[in-house]
Amino acid sequence: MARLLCVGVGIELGAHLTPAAKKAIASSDVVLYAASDSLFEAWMAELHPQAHSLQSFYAPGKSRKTSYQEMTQFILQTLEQNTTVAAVFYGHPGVFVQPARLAMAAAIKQGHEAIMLPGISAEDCLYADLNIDPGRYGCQMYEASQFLFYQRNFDTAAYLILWQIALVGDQSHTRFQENKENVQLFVEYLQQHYPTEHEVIVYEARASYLDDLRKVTIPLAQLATVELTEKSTLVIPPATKMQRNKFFEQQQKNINNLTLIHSR
Amino acid sequence: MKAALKIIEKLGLGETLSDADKASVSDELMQMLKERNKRLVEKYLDLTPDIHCVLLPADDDEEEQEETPNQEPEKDTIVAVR
Repeated sequence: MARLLCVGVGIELGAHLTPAAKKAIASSDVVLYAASDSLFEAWMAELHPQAHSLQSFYAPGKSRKTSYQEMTQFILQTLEQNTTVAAVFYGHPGVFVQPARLAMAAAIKQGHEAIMLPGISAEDCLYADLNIDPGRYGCQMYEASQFLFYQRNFDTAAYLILWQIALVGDQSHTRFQENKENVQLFVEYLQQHYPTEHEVIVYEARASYLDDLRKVTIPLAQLATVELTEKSTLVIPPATKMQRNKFFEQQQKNINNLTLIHSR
Repeated sequence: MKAALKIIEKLGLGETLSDADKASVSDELMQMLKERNKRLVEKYLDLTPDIHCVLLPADDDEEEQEETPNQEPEKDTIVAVR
């Protein structure tokens, strides 16, 4: 039985590497990794003498679903030939990382051990960088295309976070660049629920000391005018006030009244 | 490459660079690092800037959709989450 470690190394090069992740990588026979940019990739390559990038599984015009299946197969093949393999992903390996989930499921099915080690995710960075406490008004998050493809009962009194907005509406899974027409359709859909002038934030966490975090605040209607990348996330702050739950308040009042009567 | 990455890592952690760190890269590269000029650093280190980082497709598959209503963690797929 071999051991698959799905390891998160955080968003910022080096700075987010946990002692547990560092130890897992050092103790592995082979390290397979997916990075967020070329510097990050170079850094990951230096983490272990037997480190191999998963980047080559992406290709122009190739469905990402195929890429993820191939990454999974490669991870499993490597696992068959070794005792411990670390599949290292930027951010958190359990958050928006299909190949990590697929590889863990398949490894366990084949009788191997699979363990996930969390990393600092883009979501964690977002709360810190944008000074958002998800507990203040509540917070919902969706992959942008999934949000668009399905009917969602979301709450405009809470934060709404939409990931991968540059690729919104792409059903082919082959795009890596934004499609302005789809982004505009996305805006039109959102405008059914939010005022046109409602301020939204396009956010990108910084990947290293050489980056600035990206925070662009614009009216919702202008979203399609902003450059969006694979890393862009849309944050929509609450647009309405939280409404008191009258039903609960009345029920609680009734119970309190009954308790008062019985105690007399 | 290794020296440059170590410097980026140290600066990211807010650490002061030692003389040895500064001497480990060329003056030209050190200047780019100080100026936080990522594009020039990448070019200098001969790194391919075209890296894809999307790791999840949108769920548009009816078959996959049927798995979602219970929202239970896939217990058989994860041995432990630390």
